[in-house]
Amino acid sequence: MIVTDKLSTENFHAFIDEQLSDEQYVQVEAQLDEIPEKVEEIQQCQIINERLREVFDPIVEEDIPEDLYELGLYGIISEEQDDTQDFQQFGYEFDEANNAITGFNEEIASPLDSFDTALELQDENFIDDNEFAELEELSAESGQGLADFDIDNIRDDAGNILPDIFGEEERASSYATSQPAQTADDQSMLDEIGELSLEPLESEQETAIAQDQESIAPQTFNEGSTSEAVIADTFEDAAPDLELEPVEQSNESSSLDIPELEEQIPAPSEKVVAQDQTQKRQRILNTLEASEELSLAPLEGEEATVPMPDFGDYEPEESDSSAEVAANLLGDTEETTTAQEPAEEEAALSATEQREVEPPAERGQRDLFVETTPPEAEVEVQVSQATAINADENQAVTQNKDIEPATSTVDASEFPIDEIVEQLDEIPDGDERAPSDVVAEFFSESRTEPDFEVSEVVKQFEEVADEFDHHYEQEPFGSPVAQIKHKADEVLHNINSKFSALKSTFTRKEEESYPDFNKAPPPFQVGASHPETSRQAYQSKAEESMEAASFEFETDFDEDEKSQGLSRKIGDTLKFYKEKLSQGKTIEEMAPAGNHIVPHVEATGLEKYKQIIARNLDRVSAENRMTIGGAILLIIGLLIGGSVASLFEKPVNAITAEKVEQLAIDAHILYTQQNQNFAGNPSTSITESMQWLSARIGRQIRLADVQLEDFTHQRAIVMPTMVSYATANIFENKNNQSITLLISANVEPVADAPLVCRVPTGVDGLCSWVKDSVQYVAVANLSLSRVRAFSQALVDNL
Amino acid sequence: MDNYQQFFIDTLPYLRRYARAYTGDVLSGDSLVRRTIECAHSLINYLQDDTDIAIWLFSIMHNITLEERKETENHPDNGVLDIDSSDMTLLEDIDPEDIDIVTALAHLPAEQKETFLLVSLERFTYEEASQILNIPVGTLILRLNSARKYLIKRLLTDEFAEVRAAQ
Repeated sequence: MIVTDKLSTENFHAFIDEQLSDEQYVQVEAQLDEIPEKVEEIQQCQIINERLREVFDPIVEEDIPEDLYELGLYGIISEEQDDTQDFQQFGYEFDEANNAITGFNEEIASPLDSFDTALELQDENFIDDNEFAELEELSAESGQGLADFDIDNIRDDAGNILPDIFGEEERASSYATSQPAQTADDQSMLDEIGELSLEPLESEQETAIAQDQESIAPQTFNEGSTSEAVIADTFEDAAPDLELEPVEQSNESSSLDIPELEEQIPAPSEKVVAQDQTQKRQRILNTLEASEELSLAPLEGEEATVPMPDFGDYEPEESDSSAEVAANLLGDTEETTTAQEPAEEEAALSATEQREVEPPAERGQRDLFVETTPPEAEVEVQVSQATAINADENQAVTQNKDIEPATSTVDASEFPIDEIVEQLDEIPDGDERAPSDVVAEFFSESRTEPDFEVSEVVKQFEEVADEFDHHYEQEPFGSPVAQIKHKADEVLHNINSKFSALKSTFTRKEEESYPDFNKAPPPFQVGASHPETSRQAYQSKAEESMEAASFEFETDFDEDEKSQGLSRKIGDTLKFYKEKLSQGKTIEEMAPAGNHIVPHVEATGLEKYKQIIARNLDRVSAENRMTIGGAILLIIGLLIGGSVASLFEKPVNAITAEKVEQLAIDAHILYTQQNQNFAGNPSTSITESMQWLSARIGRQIRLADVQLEDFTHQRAIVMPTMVSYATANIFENKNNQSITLLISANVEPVADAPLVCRVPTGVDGLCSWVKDSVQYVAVANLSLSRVRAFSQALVDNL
Repeated sequence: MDNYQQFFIDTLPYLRRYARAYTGDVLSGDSLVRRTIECAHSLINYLQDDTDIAIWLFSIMHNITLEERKETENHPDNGVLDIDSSDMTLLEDIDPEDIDIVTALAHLPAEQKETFLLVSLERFTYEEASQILNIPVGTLILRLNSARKYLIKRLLTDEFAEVRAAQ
């Protein structure tokens, strides 16, 4: 630091900050004697320094926060340390709680560890089998200790600790009181698990079943047989005020083919028929009755007594089990009985009016499976609910129908579900018929059955499945109820399989239509075929179709959805697939751009207008066509003219003065301050640099290699300016202070601009001027006056 | 450098002092120190044996504040502490006798403030401070001169007497 006669700013501040040597200090003091105002200023600065240090120096003596200390040592703050700090900050008694937790874990872990250790030792052949057995026994003892682990003590410990930890007595007490309830729940759960674990093996189960059958069989025999008893009780629950009489046994009315099996079937171990179940049946039955599409044939002799839908000329055969099933679904079982005993109807009506309630034992003998009804039941049926006249009796009939659906008389083996499914399976891909049509055709040809939608068949079976869900759990395998349930499940499964086949067919066609479906898409090219786009459109369209068609089956329905919407969805889905696959252009419709060229967006837009024009041209006269054609030509001409005119416009190839100035600042920071990105030629003189630039911008630039304020040209760097060329010339003086002079051509505005200096962001001084459309920018971290002087010298030199 | 961690620990109190004077409050200052140390650990492989770790750490801190200032310029809503308006609550922790100088520092331009603090508070030489700030010594002297003139005017002259009285 040089001390001159005049006190410089640098010496002034160095004196304040005590950064002068002793010799310099004496010299500056001598200078200050002559400048008393500077002395006062120095004193003020020293006061500020002292105040500053008084305020902030105590920070050095403060304890360093632990996280900062950890960070300084290890570069990372461990989470455990953070947790500890949180505990400490918020008043948690961390050690106590931690000890409690650790002790708890050790108590649990030790027996398990011992067994694990034994396993490891045995694996490594450190112990033999006997020793392992001893360790295993020891571990088992520990495990017993684990089972008897005194959770109450731990809870008490926690209850004692909690007040200390949280300082909240109430919270701790509520926590402690809440635990026993949880324990009770856990205990009940454990009890259930214990019962499950005590479940016998398969052989033991069979033995138990046999014993149960022996013990239950006499009671079952007295009450009737199997599901009939349940149904009768259901009937009793649903309509307790109905007068019921035991039915006379009649082998003719039986439609079951498995009497031997029925005899072997024990009664349900528990009669569970609830009122809500009855209501549910009532709802299902009402739905069935309200269905106009499902027209079912009545049986012989029913027309006079039972209000049935109009079936036209249909007269089913006696052996037509399908009709019987359908009738039974509507509760025709009683009608069957009534038709066989028409003479008793009037008596039954009078008996109904008397509303005599029979004892449960007699009701239990009311059996619709007449063939299997024990001979002890001798009471004749005097009930004729179907012939009820007044509203109450109609209601009773409805309930009776509700209670006695096809469960008692349906012979599931004769219902042509398999044939229906076969018909559905045999639908060829090109068949335009809907599945419902196929089913209807099947019935009309082979069974002379009235037409009904396949969805109704599915609906029936779905309802049958619902109906017997409850009983199915209590029925042994092979019972009629179980068979019907199994059949219902089977038909639904078959229909689902059909959908799956359709789905796979769809997928296969999808892949055939788009061979590169599973390949990586090629790179995007403008105006070319876009398999990627095709694939996306294809996939999205296909996904929509598939989703709308069949994915409903993969979801879980709740009860309401199941009862209300499933059959409709099945029917809709069948129709949808059938329609789609029967149409010749189905795949193209679903995936229009399978492997075709996707037109450009603009081309697509034009296509739309072309179609509109073509469509409207047919409707206009020849004169108007000429007018329209002329207008179109005019528009096209204007568009083309505008495009051509734009070719003659002057291209925007100039750079603004502000951008050149920013480029100069960047160059100065990059090449002088950092001094590490220099890539120019150090030997290049300013004359050579100007020659290089002049040759490229087509204009002679004369800038002599001048020395201004001891600044000499050091190096030149060629720089791009997006539209032209520029050179950054670095000048330096003896003190390694540098000035960057950036010279660029093709700037706007073209007119000359005088020298302007300012202090921009990033550097301390910038001066800029334009001459002959060449811009000069001088940038330096010097005072603005020095940059101005340097620049002015250059302006004068040009 | 093997024992750089100990240098880090030794420099921490001074980094905290500078950061607190620069930011104006404890939390922001310690946060700045934390980021500085994290950055230093990540750059430790570039540390050479002859590097002055204190200068290196302060230069890292300066670069961090420089980045923050650039971000603040781009997003004015995330501005630095406006100590005169909405963030006066931060001054509650400061000794009332010290509010004047803390406020005056808050009003200094960042470049001048960091120059002044490095020289006057941290007692770095002009060469060291220019190395930290990556600016020439002449620029540093100019900034220092501007900062001191403003502080004298703000703290010691009658021009801001009413302001000081209000504080």
